[in-house]
Parts: sequence; structure tokens; C-alpha cells
Amino acid sequence: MVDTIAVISGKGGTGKSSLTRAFFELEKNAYAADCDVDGANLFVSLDHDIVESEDFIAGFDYEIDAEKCVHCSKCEKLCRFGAIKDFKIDSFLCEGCNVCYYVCGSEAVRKSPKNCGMIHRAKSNAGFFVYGRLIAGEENSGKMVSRVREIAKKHAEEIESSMLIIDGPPGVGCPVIASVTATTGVVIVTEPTLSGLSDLKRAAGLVTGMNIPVTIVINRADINIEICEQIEKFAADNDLSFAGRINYSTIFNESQRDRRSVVSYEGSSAADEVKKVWEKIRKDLLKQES
Amino acid sequence: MRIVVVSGKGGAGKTTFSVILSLLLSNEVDIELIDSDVEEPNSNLFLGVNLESKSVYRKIPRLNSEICTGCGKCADICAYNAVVMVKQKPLIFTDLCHSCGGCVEVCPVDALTEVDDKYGEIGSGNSENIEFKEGRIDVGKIQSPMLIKELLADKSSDRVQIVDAPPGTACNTVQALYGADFALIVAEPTPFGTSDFKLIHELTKVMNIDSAVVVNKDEGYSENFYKLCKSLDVPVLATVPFDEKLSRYYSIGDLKGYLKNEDISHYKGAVDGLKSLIMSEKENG
Repeated sequence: MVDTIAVISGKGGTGKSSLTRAFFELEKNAYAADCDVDGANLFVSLDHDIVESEDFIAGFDYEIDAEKCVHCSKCEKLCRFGAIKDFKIDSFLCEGCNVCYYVCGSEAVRKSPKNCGMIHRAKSNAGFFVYGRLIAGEENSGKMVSRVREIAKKHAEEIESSMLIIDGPPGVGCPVIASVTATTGVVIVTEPTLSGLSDLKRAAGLVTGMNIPVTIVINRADINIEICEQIEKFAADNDLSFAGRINYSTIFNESQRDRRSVVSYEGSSAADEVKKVWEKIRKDLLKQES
Repeated sequence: MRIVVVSGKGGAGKTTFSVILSLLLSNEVDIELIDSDVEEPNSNLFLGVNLESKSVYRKIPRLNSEICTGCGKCADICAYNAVVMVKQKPLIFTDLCHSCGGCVEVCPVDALTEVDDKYGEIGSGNSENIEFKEGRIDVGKIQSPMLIKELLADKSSDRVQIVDAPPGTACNTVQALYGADFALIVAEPTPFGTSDFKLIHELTKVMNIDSAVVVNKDEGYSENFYKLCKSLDVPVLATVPFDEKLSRYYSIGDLKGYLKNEDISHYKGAVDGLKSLIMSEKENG
């Protein structure tokens, strides 16, 4: 089975995608999967050709047929999500639970499979990668993550990739759980702010609760050295690996604009720090090498 | 009235703007700040409110297997695979349950009953003249949209509600935006930020919510971003340049100190924009 490393952060905007992009380029023969399906960014900074696309169909749209509806209000009374009013279903409140469809005595509730977005498999200079794009406002992001991973894993194994690298979503919810489940290890990218630390603790709690190894990276470390020390202490106190610090650098944003990876800026301290951190991550998470 | 601060992209500055605007507006308007980023709530790191917390519960089914006849209707109705039949008996995976009550409703022999399951907390309190509330989901639980809905259920407040939304454009953000009178989009004019901005702007349009943009961490490469806003016909209320000093204040949770000690003229457009929005809402009732 191909080794899988997921990059998450808890807090958004700590540099997950920029670092995943760099790791993807550093790791020879790697495969990547962008699992931040409602805010995918990897494809933005990576010149690529789409090799294959599929619609992502999940769950159902529900609708009440006004001609068949006998206004018994049974569905409205039973809907726990308050999604039915005046014999109409509000799609933003509907959670697709199926209850209205099931209980309607006059077959007035129709359901149709829902198109929630698209999944693309693409080829870039750094290698093949898969990314999902959920339609704004759609549900089933966790399911889409699982499907993105399934496609990536299948193809990564077909071409005998050395590793699958996952760019995860922020938070600790459903799509994050789907992104880290059954991985070899998880990188948590944080920043030395009280928010970063607070979010790191929750993200680390989630992953260690699933018995998956964790290593921590501090990005923009020079914003606050004291909080860096607190983060490193948190790692040590909780037996988590620490992969290193990366200082603030304008190269991160520059690389997005240039559609390049941070590590391609040869000789810059940002490139050197990221390279060093990636080596340490491999050591921390790929146990056979240690 | 409810103003929801969204961004699509994480780390664009939702919390920073929610807190700064709440503090600046609270001199003239009664504000209730609600942190609805229930997976990673951070607003209170900047307000330091002594929170009074209450546990939040959801309903999950419990089986009385002595009564169960193994008919399988419960598994049949469940859209989440939270109830599956194993050896003619329902097996319940409460982690996957959305608390829709369907299984309980269709059981012909009342073998299923509902019990409470704690899945998060709602904390509330006051910071000077700001009322504050936050939701915090228990780590490992996946019912964030449910908690956001619960947190934002009450719109009756006389205060202007400023909601710090979660990142992304999926279920959590939909729940945070539901019932909003206005969406303030915080955007980072980087390629990643622009891509995510398009998604969140699309979501506000689909949900029929008026919006305006504040551009954050502008480093001077933003011409295309402004063009995009123009072509989408979204007003830009303010542009805040990237500021290392702000990062420092932010890192230690001291946005109040930032407002007191530094030049904050860049936020004026956003404050004025929201103020006139609030005034016109008041006039129109």
C-alpha cells in the first residue's frame, strides 16, 4: 500500500497548500490529492492538464409535487431540520434525511440524485494529482474527500508512486476526518499565534484520538518566538514529533503568483527551510526509514 | 439585523475583521458578536470574555433488542448508513447519525427510542458593551452544521449581530449564512484567495444575500482582484495593506491594543459602510 501523508492545520491560512505544493515537488514520484474540496487551491498554483473528470453525485435533491400533495403536513411535522414550509422544501435547510420521502402517503415527494461537483485527475510537472471541486453550498464534502482519495490511491498504486500527499481542509470536522482516516501520518501546519495554538490542540487531539502519528510544522515562525516555544513544548508534552520552523517569507505569495513552488527559489532561506522540514517529516512519519 | 463575515479561504482575516469591526462599531451601536466557526472558534481569544458554557445535546436512537422484530425499516429509511442490518438486527453507528428521527418514526413496534448525546458547547458572556456567544463542537463529532444552526437560531436580538463564519463554502458556511441580512466577504487578493473568493461570492448570490468585500493583506499585486470585483459588481468597502505589526498583535490576542496604538484608518471604509447599512436597515424597519 502506498504511504499516505495528510497535511492539515486546524486553523485556515497557515500555508497548507503552499507547503503541500512544495512537498509534492520535493518527493520524487509522488502523487497528490487536494481534499480541501470547498476551497481547492493546489490546482491554482500548478500548471496542469486535466486527464480525466467525473461528476460527483451524492445524496438526493427532494422536491414536493404540488399536484400530488394533499396538504396533510405530515412531512412538515416530521422534518427535524425545519426545511419544509408551505409544502415546499428549502434546499439550504434540507439535510437529505429521506424522512419526507418515506412517510408521504401520496407519493408527492420526489427525489433525484444530486450533482455536488466535479473531480478531476490532472498531470503536472510535479506529477499526477486529483482534486475535487464541490459546488458552492453543496453538502457531502466528506464523501467527496473519500472519493478523491479513492481515485488518487488507485492511480498512485497503478503507476507505483512512492507516496500520496493529501492537502487537507481546515477545521476538525467531517472532511478533515475523511482526509486523515487511514493515513500513514499527518502533518499539522500551524502558526505561532494564540489562534494557531488553540486550533492546533484541537486538530492534534482529533488525529491522535484516531491513533495516527502526528508531526508539527510552524510556519511564519518569526511572528512570535515565544509562542513557537509554547507550541514546541505542547508537542513534547504530548509525545508528538516536531518537524521544524519556517520563517515568514514573501516568497510564499510570490510563488503563488508565479505558479511555482517555494522550493524552486533555489538559495532562498524559505526553500532551504522547507526542504529541511520535509526531510524531518519523512523521518517522523515514515517509520521504516528511521 | 445580522451581518455575516465570510471568506471562503481560511486565514483571510474573518476573525480579525469580526472582532475589530465589533469593537469599533460598539461605541455607537449595540453589538452581539457570534463566533460560528464551531470547529475552531477563536474570537474570544481577542475579547477575553468569561464564558458561561452550556452543553448542547442531540438526539440519537437507542435499540431495545428484546422488542425488535428485525423488520429492517429503520435501516431502510436511514440516508446516512447510521443504521444497518446485521444478522437481522439493526446496528447503530451514532457517529454517522444526523438525528433526523426517521428510524424511530418508522419502527412499527417502538423498539427504538431517542436519547441525548452531548456534541458540543455554547458559551456566552459580555465584554464591556459587546454581547458575545460562541459554539464549540466536541472534537471528533461531525455535526458542526447542527451546532451552527442551534447557535444562530435566535435572530430576535435588538442588537446588530456580527457573525464570524467558518471557512469554506460547504454545509457549515451555508448554515452560518442562512438568515443573513448581509455578507461581508474578507478576501486575500492572492491567487488562492481569489479562487476561494469566487466560490464564496457565488454562494452569497445563490443564497440571495447582498454582499460587499474588504480586501485584506494587500501587498500591491491586486489589480486583477479589483477588476474581478468590478466585473462581479461587488462593492469594495476597504483595503487593508499587509501589516507585520498587526500580525504581532494578532499573535498574542491583543487586537484591542492594536486599535489603541496603531493607525487604523484603513478600516474606516468598512466601519462607515457597515454603519450606513445598519442605519438604513433601522430606517426601513
